[in-house]
Amino acid sequence: MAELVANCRGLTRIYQDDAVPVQALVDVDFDLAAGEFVSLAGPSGSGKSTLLNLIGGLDRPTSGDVCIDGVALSTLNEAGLSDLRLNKIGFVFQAYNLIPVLSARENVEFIMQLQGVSARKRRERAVAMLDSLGIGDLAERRPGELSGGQQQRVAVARAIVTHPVLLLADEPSANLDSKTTAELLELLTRINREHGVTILTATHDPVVMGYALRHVQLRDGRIVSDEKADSVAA
Amino acid sequence: MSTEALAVPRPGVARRSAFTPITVALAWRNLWRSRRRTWLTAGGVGFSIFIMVFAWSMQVGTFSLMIDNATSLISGHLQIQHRSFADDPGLRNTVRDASSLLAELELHPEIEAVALRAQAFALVSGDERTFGAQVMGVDPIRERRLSSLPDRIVSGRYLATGREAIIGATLAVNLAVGVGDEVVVLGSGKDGGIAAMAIEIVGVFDSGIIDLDRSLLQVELRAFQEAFDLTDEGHVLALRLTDFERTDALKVALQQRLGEGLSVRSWSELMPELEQMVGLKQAGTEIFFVLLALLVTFSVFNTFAMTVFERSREFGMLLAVGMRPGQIMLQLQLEAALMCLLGVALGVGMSVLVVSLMARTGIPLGDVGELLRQYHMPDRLYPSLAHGVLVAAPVLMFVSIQLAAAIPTLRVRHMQPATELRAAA
Ligand SMILES: Nc1ncnc2c1ncn2[C@@H]1O[C@H](COP(=O)(O)OP(=O)(O)OP(=O)(O)O)[C@@H](O)[C@H]1O
Ligand SMILES: [Mg+2]
Repeated sequence: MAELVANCRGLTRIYQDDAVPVQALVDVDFDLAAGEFVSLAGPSGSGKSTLLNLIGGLDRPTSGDVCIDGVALSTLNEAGLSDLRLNKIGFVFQAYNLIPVLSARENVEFIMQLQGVSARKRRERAVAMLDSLGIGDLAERRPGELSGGQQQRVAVARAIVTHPVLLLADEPSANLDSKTTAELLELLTRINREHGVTILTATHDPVVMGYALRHVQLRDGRIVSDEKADSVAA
Repeated sequence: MSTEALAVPRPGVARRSAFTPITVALAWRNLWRSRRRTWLTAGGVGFSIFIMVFAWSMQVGTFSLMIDNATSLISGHLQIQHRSFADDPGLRNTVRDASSLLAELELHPEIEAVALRAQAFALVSGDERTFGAQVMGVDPIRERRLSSLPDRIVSGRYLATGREAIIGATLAVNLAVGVGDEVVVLGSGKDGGIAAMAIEIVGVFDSGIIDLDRSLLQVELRAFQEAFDLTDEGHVLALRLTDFERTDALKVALQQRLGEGLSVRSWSELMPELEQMVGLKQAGTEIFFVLLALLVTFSVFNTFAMTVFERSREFGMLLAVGMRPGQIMLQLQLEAALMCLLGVALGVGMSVLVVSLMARTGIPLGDVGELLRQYHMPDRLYPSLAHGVLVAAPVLMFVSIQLAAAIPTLRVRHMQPATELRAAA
């Protein structure tokens, strides 16, 4: 059996901040093996983002635990979680991924700077990464000067330049048209296949699901189906 | 497409908190995301610094004018007296061998002028009335170099040689005497005998200082020494320095040189009320500075409260990708520091420019100038660039701004990345 990148046991998340507590996730068991490309689907409010946040260490469960790369997140303090996010997880969000006043290259360099990579190596790797994702010629542009698809590519570059064990994407194509969505998904597929980066992406979009190798369905905070894809697009 | 970049080994987990070119660039560019606000805040900082430097420079200008005016009238910057003269200004407490000491002092490069004076309290009588007065024997030629009293003659002329006197305007009125009249001075000599002199008034002065105008009578030194049984001695050696800022340093040096028997006293000891007034005014100005700094602190606080509020989704993203709250806060403090530097550059630039310009041309005092002229003050004020404040004001601003920015910035500590990102969606 392949080594587990993520391992969730009895995950429950109840939001207490409103008058009525919301059960966003109820007793979810969920594993991600190294090299998987998984789509997480389900209606709005079914708990997709909540699950992603718990796996990514952005939020803590009400009960249950998550292990990432063998480390139980419940054993980590805030700083430990922050380090885990920096070094083991790559994030791509729907929007607001990038620092608007930094160029594409600087955005990618910035995350490596947080890791303490030397200035020379940072630059080399940022340029090489943007090149390999086909946006090398846009390296000096700021996010405002890039299209939505280009911005998401930069976000992917930033997410994987740190060599995470897991790439989490929360509706990365929600703001993109279908052509750009396809390009982004092809990129993710390549990263998954050629470099074995494990990917978990939340999505409403059947096109996105078409690229994944495993489909998980959430409803009302519970996993209602979890199956391997019969056929994969592209 | 090359995919080599993906194959680089995983980096270490070491964190670097030092400011790198990226963090500085990030801070600088973030400042310009809201140009108007940055200019307003930095402008406020700059203007406050300008106000501080300008106010202090004007004050220093005014004070040195006042001090110069006060010391040049008669007292000089330093006085050498007999050790006991300050407590007991009796005729007996004299400086001996005065002419050799005077000659020596005149050779000192930092001393511009020296004058020897002998003085005593005596009764002065006109034809009908008699008043007590301070009679002072002076050397007219040396006196002209040190004292501005010779310029304050309102009728007649200043002393030349021989048995003549000048008299304060009020005293002249009290005695009902004028130029050409004779007065009789009656006192007791050093040896206890009667000191008397009949002397002609050649000039009346109006110094603007009530005490002097009411009680001073100047006569020629030798005549005084003769009448009061003095030999080569006097009571005061008044010194005017080339640079009055050197007063205290020279006081110490001279005191050391002259030894126990004589005491060297500075203008601030001779006119303590003058220095007290300067100190009081400066304390008031310092309080004003603190209030100004408080005002700037509020404006910076407001700016950073807005910044933290507006950029919370971005901070959520940065927290999500593994930046620590402390690093974000440092980043914001760096932004505050750069904003402060911008303000400091504006403020210092403006201060140096305006003050040095005005130091050259002077500030006309207008109607006030008219009034001041009566007191023999110039009608233009020359501010003197206050270097201390030029350093202290930016430091005060820097500290206030860092504190002001730190308060709203603390909110970042309580930010939850998931919450901030959800709010953004
Ligand atoms: N911070 C929160 N405070 C209160 N309720 C929350 C919070 N975050 C999520 N919820 C609630 O939890 C439930 C699950 O939300 P979640 O965002 O995980 O759904 P989702 O599947 O990602 O939906 P969408 O497709 O709309 O993004 C929803 O009912 C939502 O309103
Ligand atoms: Mg969601």
